[in-house]
Amino acid sequence: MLRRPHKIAAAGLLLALALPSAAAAQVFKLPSECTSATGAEDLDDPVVLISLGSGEQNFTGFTLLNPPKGTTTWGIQVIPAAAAQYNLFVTYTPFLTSDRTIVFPYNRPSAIFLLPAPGVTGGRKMKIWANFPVTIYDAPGKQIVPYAYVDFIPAFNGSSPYTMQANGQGVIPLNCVQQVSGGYRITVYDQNHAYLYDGSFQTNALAATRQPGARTEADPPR
Amino acid sequence: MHAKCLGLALALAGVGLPAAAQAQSFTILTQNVLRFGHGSRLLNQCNAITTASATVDIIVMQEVMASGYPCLAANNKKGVNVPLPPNFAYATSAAKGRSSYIEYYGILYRTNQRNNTQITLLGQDDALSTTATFMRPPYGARFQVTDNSTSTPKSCNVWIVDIHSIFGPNLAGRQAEAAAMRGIYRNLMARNNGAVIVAGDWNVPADDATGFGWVATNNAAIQPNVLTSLTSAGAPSSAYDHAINTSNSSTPPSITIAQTGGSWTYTGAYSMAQWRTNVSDHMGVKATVSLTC
Repeated sequence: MLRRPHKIAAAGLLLALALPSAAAAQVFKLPSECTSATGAEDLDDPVVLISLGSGEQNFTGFTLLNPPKGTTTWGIQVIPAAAAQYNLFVTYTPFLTSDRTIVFPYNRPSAIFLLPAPGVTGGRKMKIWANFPVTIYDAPGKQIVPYAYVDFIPAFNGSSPYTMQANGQGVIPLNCVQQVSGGYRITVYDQNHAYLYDGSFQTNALAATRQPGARTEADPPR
Repeated sequence: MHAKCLGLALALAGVGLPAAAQAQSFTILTQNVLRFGHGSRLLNQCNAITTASATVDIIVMQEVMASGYPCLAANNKKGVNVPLPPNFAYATSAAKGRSSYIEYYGILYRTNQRNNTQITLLGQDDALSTTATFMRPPYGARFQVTDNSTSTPKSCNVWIVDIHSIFGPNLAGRQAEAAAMRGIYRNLMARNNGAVIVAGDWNVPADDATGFGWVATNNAAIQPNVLTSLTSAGAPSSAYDHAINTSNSSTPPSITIAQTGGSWTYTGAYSMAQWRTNVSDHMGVKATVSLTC
């Protein structure tokens, strides 16, 4: 299902009204496709998860380093820095992440690693939708849910939801959405705050056509 | 800014006490402070908490991102240095989480007498459960609450437990943590002859029978069940923040959560959108607590 251009423009206007300062406060450099990013909390630190090649999943021996003045690249300082493979997963917004694997061959008192830029996975720039209206359907996938409350769940262990409300057509206009293979997890409530379901929406082009069993239709413009 | 926290807190005012018992009363606020210490909103958050502290005695906080009070310069990298609220001390948990993403629990408590009530920290328990059961195992602090309004002061003890439940990919995980709190509640009720309050962000409504069905059959109550989380535009969205409290009318110890109407007392000259942008994606929940023992 394709959306007509004027409807997409209307969705973008709604977003501009809801989040007037999201882009202005951005401390990390937005991907070139984006002029603003939904869920970019005002100068929040990115969330960095590190697992080690040795199998340790919850490595916490690091400190986040703010970007040096005039730059937009965050870093971490690992103390001490053991020779290991460091697998970094960074969450900048609920819809914008990156990852990087660093093989550090030394044992040092400390080391500084730069974080991968938003939208970069394994050194590869991912597809990013500058505007990405999501239409919220009911659990059977038949009826839209006007004014639905939706908790978007960032993709890291322990995250808290980022909540938005759909408009009367069940549409939530998202900005700066990175394509991810598994889609994005959501929890949906109706306009009376009654729980409907936990689900997800996909971000590849095929998801523009509702798939059997899909509960939420994502309809990226093209 | 200073009026914001007061206006957004759910005020449960007024007291209805059993006539026969002398009660020890204090006011508690629970607040998810949205990545407290890791955002540029930190100064606003610190000021909001300081403002709220003027009319409360215990502040239970979730999403604390530092091992010490985040408003102190030594505990943040945001150039913020706001002291502890006047006449308050700070108790904190160890780091909580199953991954590199960790949070802390933080409890501010009043050290001076207010309304003839003196609060004293008696102890802490940061081993109430494990990460096998909870994403962030709850943290408990035990307080003595003394009523000095008469010539014969009387004290009651109370456990205050802080919880920030998992959100995760599905409702079942959230319900499981709410249900698992039963064991902690019963454990604490059996210790020290004290009452228990478990306050925080549960990520499920208080009327979720799967998560909280145990409450009614364990001498406990859960309240309030009002919308506390906020959308990005500041609209109330879900009833996620509540407290479970000892509720035993026949046999002390017991807790009465005083309440007048249970509706929002949002009267400040500001907007919820501003609160959402500048302070948190949750409103606080505030109640007057009366202990009998």
